[in-house]
Amino acid sequence: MSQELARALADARSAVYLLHGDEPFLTRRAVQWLRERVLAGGLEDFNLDRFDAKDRPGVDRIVEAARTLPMMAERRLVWVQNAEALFAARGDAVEPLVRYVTSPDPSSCLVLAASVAVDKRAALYKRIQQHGTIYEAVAPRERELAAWVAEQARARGRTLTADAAACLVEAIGRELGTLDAAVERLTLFVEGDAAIDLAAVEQVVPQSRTRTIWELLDAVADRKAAEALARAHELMGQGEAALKLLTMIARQFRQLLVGRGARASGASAEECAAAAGIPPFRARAFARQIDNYSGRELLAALERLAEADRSLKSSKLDEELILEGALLDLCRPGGAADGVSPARRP
Amino acid sequence: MKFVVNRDLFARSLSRLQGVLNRKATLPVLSNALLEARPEGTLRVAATDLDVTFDGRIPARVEAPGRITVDGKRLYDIARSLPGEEVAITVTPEQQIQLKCKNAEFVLLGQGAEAYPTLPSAEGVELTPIDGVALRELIDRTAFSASTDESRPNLNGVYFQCLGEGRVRMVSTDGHRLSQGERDARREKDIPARDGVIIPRKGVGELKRLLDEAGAEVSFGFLENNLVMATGELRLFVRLIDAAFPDYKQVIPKSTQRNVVLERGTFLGSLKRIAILASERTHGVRVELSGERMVLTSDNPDLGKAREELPLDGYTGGDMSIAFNSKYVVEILGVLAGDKVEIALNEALSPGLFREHGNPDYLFVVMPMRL
Repeated sequence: MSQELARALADARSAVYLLHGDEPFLTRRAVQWLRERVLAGGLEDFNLDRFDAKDRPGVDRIVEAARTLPMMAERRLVWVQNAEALFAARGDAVEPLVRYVTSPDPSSCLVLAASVAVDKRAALYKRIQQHGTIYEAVAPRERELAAWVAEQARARGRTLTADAAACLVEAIGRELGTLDAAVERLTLFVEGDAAIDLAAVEQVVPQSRTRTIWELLDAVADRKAAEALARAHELMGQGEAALKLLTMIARQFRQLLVGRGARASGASAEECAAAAGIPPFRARAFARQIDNYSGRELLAALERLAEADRSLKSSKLDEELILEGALLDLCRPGGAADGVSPARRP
Repeated sequence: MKFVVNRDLFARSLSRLQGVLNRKATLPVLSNALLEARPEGTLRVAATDLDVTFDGRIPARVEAPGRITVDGKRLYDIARSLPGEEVAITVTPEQQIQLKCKNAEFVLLGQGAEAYPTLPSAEGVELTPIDGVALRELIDRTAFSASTDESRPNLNGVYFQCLGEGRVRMVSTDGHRLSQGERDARREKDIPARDGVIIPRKGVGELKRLLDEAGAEVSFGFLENNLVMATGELRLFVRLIDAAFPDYKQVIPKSTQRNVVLERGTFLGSLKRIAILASERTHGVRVELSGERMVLTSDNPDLGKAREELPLDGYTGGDMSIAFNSKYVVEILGVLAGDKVEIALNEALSPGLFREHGNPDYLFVVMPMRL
């Protein structure tokens, strides 16, 4: 990761940087990386100027700081946070900065760090493109997250097994900062050079919302109605929308249907899981759940879920009530196949 | 609670609190002053913003002791506008504060003192006498360069250190310039050496206010993480910044190759003139040393150019060109008192050292600019 950053950030040798994008964690990390290198060996207290563009510090003050030579050090770092405001400003307002970027002071490192992607049509952007370095922090796609998490462990000199990485992503979600903090905790928890495995993740990663969603999905797939209702209430109490939970359950039933099809053609438990896009660490539970429903029941369940989906979007009934009705139908022996959905009840 | 107090003393004691009262605080009671009528015949007038606390006592004829808090700004506005010499104050059981002075009468709504934060006490604190005038001068000549960037708390105040043998030092820096002052501030007894502390900018402002009033007769001490300053019946507590001041000695040039002595007033006048056409972005003014003259220039593509020569008597350091932020140098020349100023330089990219000629107590370091 450090090598990637070094490449992306021109080994910290540029006099002007724009760090922007939709992933603040990556931007923050790039700032920290630059800070450590630009101010290395110098007196940080004397050579770091920090501005927040939200406070409208005045472009002149930023340029004034960048033009001041460092004290007893190679370079001065001028760090402007929330720099997106500068790219949204009228041309005249940032003209001094545009001029500075054209001819920056080589003993200063001006870092414009934006918390979102900035307007690439802005004159300031174009000038930095010509004379400085631009780093766009783009969040990894969902399917790349497990590899990203494993990379964070590798950067710390540790190995994270594939199922542990997948479990971590499933448990935490897409929040890179939280994922990185979890990897940090795991490297401390698992002593020595041992690989960080699934067991370690299960012990260290706290019960999270995603984890509870898994528990809801398991409860429904295992036909445990009381538990399914309890998990659903818990999640809605945490602010989850009934529609989102319903969507997750529908996805689960689609996966079960795909898995059942694979099983019918003689696939192993792992192959069934892979065919349905289930992470390896959940393969065993998935295989068990396939057997809980017949093909007819799975199709009926999907139909029942579609009805509940329509009700949630159009009915005046309480969304909790609609979800509860669907959950009870799905968990009932015989499933939704022989039941009459509440939406059809008088 | 009932007492009678001299109007002037009362108004003056309330005026001291005005910088401490905080109307925007999350604790609304922090916009109040605490009044405490004591049986021994004193009125305590105090306020805190939890970082700075003023606590004073003035004589009063106390008929019924008690404590109350009340909007400190309103009370001050009323007290200073009252017509007579004495103010009679009565607090009703409903916590209404009645002020009577000659034929004027006011009623203010108070708030119980039990909601007010516990104020620090100087009881048991060892107070050392210190020359308040010397201290005031040190603040005047050093505090201006403290950083205003609140994300850097260790630069957000003035470093205060007792060096031993009565000498005290103050240093401030914002990373672009540094001011250091040192004075013998001994009064009746020695000031023992101790590690430096950082007094926050707001605390320095309140300290100045106290020193203005107290003159030389002040004492100081430390209470946990507070600086305590005392004069007469007045105590000021300033919570110190809990951070390490940078190793500032590293940035003070140990030796210099080029030394120039100039008339302070003449140099200041020239610099201000040349700065008129300096870039508004950087306030940069170029200083060229050549032969026996100094040339100040500024060049602003949007406005024009300026140039002024100053003679240098006996300068032998050789030619050089360096640029400074004129605002910084003007501020330094403004706080110095002597007729002459020394400028000591090495290279164009090395810090410049400014001193009052013949006065080793103060020095100022300014980082040059690249224009």
